[in-house]
Amino acid sequence: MNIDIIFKIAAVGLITAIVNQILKKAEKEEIATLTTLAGLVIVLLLIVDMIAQLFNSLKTLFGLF
Amino acid sequence: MTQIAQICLTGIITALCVLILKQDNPTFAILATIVGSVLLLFMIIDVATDIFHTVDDFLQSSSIGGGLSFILLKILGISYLTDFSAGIIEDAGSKSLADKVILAGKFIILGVSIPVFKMLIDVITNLLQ
Repeated sequence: MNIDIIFKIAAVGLITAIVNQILKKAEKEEIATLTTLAGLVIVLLLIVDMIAQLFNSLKTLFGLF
Repeated sequence: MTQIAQICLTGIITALCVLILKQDNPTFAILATIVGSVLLLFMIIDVATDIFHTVDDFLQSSSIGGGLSFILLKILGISYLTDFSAGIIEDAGSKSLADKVILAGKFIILGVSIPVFKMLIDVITNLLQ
């Protein structure tokens, strides 16, 4: 588990914010919200399998479910 | 020694990334906190497994500790999970939701530890007779 995942998320967040500003200046509000949504989906896909791995290791560690 | 340094640095770097992300879009800040806490957990998992194995051996050897170690581990896991998610929910800003998650966790822990109470009462009744 290395730390570059956090930098990836920070990068995606910043880029979405910048694209948002540009689209807002170009009066394309609806596309701006769509780009934010796209960025969010990308990051969520990145996170989902990490959290699945976390819950699996917790399950084996504590013998929960 | 390096492991604790690694953990502290990851925490600081995650906090900085969260701060950077907070101005532009707060949603990504919450996602960064989630990933940061998952990373920190993965770092301590191997240490935790060794500790739990040793604790398990102690409890197995003791006379009454047979079923206790399983329940103890379960309670520990449940409390950690609820604390983990309640913290993230609180970061996301909805404090009342976090309190409800904690309340639910308490009830589940109570449910899991019912056999321990029964064992305690049996021991007491045996003593009294």
